[in-house]
Amino acid sequence: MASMLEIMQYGAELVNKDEEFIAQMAELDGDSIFWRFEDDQPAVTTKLVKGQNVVEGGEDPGAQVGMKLKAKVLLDVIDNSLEAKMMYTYTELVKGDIELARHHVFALTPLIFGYQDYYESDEQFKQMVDEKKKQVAGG
Amino acid sequence: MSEIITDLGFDSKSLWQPKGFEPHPYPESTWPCLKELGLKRLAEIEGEDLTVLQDGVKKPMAVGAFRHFYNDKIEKLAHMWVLISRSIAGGMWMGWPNDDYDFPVLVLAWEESKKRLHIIIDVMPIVDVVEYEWYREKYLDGIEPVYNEYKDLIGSPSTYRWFRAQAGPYLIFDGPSMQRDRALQCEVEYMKYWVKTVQESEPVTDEQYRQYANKRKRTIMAQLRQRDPLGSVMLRTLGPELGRKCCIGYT
Repeated sequence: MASMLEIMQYGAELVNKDEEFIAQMAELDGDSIFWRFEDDQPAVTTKLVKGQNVVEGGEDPGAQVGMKLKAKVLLDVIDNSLEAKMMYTYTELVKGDIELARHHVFALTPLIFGYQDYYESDEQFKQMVDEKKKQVAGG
Repeated sequence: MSEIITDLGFDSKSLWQPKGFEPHPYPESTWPCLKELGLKRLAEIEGEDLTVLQDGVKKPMAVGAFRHFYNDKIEKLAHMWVLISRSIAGGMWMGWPNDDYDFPVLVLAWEESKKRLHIIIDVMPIVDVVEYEWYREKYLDGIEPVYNEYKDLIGSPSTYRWFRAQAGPYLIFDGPSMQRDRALQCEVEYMKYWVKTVQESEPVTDEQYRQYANKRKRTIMAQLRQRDPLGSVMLRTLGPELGRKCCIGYT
């Protein structure tokens, strides 16, 4: 069973190689967000570094924004059963404020749309997401 | 040569193509409603040159164009038609009275993607409609039959308390992902209603009320400029300079 870190890294590697998303991320740099999962899943930090997504384990103390949410919420966004911007409804900001969050989380738009695309087109990614969703939902 | 603008200059397909779906014909469905207003091109607001937005924007995460108009009653009427991250078609109309008039603000938003549609449809009062109940009766209650016809489009309320506080009693917000044709028709009907209120409006004569209405209008504008999430999206996708111009253009 893949961890949230492994799922997010796997998807990010696909997005980082995708010409369409490479073009969109060309000017993005320096946005760092940590994801503190409520359901016994280790935290993950996502960063934009010179137009590429970097996904690391743990909570980066240098992150501008920290979000606390159930892993299932992010997985719902990835499989497109939850609208990405509705994620805020199920998220507690543990670092930064809503203004900072809107600014920095928006930099993840290509990553999120990329996750959604590859959930539909990459069988391995879909399987990782579906299995994890069953696990965290207790299914 | 007349200064009246008769052609919007683009349609839903001429500026960009989204990935995986065809957006509804938002610009060409809404624009014809406005033709009787005799709109003129607004090239500058608050010292900011808007023509760079009107010429079209092309950034890695956003492509599209903006239009800004005015006439003898309208201070500014802004239109946006952009594609965000190749996946979200963003349409918007926002229209404000000038300081001699008090008709409501036109607030129309259209955010369409392959799987979702998010809408905001309102004629937003610029005064307190409890204190000035006649304003609601004069400017807002006429939309009630349209509201009743389309109120099934209403979904979850906005998560922004400041926005809920500004909204009018006939706000239609969110929800209709599978009813896109009806949602677009509702936007058109609200726009037609707003055009009628503009045409029928008369200059405000009560100086005390005028000062109150304009002060409250400026407060609404300032709150939108500071807090509207569209503003932060535009700042992020277009960069600080163009993003600021975009915000000034519609708030």
